[in-house]
Amino acid sequence: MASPLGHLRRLAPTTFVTLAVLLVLAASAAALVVVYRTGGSIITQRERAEALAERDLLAEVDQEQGLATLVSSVARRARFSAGGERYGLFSESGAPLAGDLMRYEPGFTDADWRLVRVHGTDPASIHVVTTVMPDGSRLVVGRDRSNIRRFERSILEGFAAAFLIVAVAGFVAGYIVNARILQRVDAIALTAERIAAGDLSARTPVANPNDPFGRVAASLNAMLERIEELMTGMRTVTDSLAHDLRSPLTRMKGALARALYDGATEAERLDAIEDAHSQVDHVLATFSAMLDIARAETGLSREMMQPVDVAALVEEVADFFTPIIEDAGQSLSEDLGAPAIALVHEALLRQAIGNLLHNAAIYAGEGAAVTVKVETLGPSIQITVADTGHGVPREHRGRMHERFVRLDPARGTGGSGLGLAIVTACAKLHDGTLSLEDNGPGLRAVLQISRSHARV
Amino acid sequence: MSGRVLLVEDDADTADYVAKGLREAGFTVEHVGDGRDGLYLASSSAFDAVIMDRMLPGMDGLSVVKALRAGGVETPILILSALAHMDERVSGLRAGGDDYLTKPFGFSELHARLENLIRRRGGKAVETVLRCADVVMDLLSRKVTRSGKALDLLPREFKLLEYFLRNKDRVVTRTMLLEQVWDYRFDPHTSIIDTHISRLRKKLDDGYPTPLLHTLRGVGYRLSEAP
Repeated sequence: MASPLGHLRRLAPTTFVTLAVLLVLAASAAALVVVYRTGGSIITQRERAEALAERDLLAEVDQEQGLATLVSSVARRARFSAGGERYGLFSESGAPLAGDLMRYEPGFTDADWRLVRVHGTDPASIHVVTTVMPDGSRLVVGRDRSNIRRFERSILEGFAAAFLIVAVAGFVAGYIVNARILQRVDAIALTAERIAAGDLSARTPVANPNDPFGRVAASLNAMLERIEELMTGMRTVTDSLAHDLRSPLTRMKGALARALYDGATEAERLDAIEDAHSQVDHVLATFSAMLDIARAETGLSREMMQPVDVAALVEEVADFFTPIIEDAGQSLSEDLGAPAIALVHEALLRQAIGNLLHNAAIYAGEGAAVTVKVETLGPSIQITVADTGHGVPREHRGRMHERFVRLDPARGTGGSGLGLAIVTACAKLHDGTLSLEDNGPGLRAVLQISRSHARV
Repeated sequence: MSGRVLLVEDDADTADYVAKGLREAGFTVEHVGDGRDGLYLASSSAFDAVIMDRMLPGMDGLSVVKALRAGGVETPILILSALAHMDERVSGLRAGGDDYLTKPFGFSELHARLENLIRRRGGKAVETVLRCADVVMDLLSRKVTRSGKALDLLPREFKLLEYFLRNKDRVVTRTMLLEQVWDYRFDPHTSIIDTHISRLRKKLDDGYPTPLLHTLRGVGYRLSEAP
């Protein structure tokens, strides 16, 4: 695109356009051959009919008015011939009596529209009809090939003109179409180049979402949207991961320093080592949660899905969490309903429900009533964990799904900040959703999962 | 406890660490670093347990386990792996492993699980009554007594105590409880197990002179008469 010449070369019709033009040319040539063959045969048929009529007329002249009149008739016709007519009247012995054919060719005998080569001053191949008169003289009426030649010439000229028109129009159209395609491809390529250069916000303009390029641009934009979302997510995750690992590692370092301190008693050392040990567990738990989220988000865990009674699973998890909910001064009630069988990733779903209950235990506060409910709603199963605690302000609810987000850093409880991110990933894996609603008062977390897993 | 253990692990450091620990604990350890050798040894000679790494040269650990099970070898197998996804544990157990432990692990965790595996195989007889000191659990009537007095346990406490009674005098780690009692894979807030234990302990030991449920620092718990 640097020089005008380069730009023009870029515009040159592609092989595809050239091929299309050649195809059109070949098709018109074939059409012309067909026209030529049918047209030629029509002309020949007509000439033959004319020649026969003329012969009959001249034979009648001979019959009614005698040979002398025939001779003059033939001579006159030969003189005024304009459309390639040829005549010859020969005596029984073959001597020319009248007409422009001066030599009796052997091929004339009994000819009924036969192509005969005539010699003499003007050699040519002509079609002839020969009749023998009652007195023995022979009348030859013929047509040379000038009409056919004229027809051929006009066909050729027509073809040349058509060729020229198609070629010129084809290449002009090719240039125009190319220019338009290039314009839009350039817009898409430019976007890709801007992305490659680091500008993730670049998008391709969509002129008309229904035409092919609009479709490409629209899906490209959707893809870029998703990539940007993932990249931003990834950046947040790595930043937070670095930040999140720093504190347990710092605590671990402190604990180990305490254990190494010369004046420490055996009991203090053990305490310090146990502290370091639990920090390592914390780091490992964070890592495995990250891995589980990543696997669930990419759908890799799909092969682990199997039919499970979700109501029974929720009951088990609720039973497991009852002691800590009770220790937090809260009460737990269950409304499980009938068995709800679904194709689920059991371990992940267990984890997700556990995280919701655990969140309630930690954040709902003393005196809150926690309820867990399982309902089958058409094609999906809805698991609700609701509390009557402090709730979460509306403006924070959207952020809660994200990884490492802890709404109240002052109330840090040592969690990884990954709890709801796991629930969200679980919902996504099961083609469902997690919504956080106001329970008035309190928070209601609704995990909806698809019963018949469509995508396998 | 003693026994003959086959360790199939290609990483020399891990193998030395595990083999040394097991020998100190009284086990006889055979160590090979290749999957095929492991398969050959495990199928040709009798072991009390096999510790099998997943990523092995020659033949991967899961294939060895599948081959052994297909060949009718019923030795308990503990699978070791650096793959920590919850999916990996399930696929390890589906292949025929009896337990699954993720690297990095503490030796006490491995030791506790290994003893649990070996003992589980030994105790094939169907027991209807479990005992420890003066605690008696009747599995049929689902009643528990201590010194003849009935203990009023919730079903989840019954389940937990049953697990302890079946592993009497052995170390039980938090993750073993999580996985084997509640089928829960990982708990970032391990205090939940402590909560369950302290509730059980309150009903089991409060008011009796000898405590039975002991906490072992940094390792787990043990149910035994001896402190």
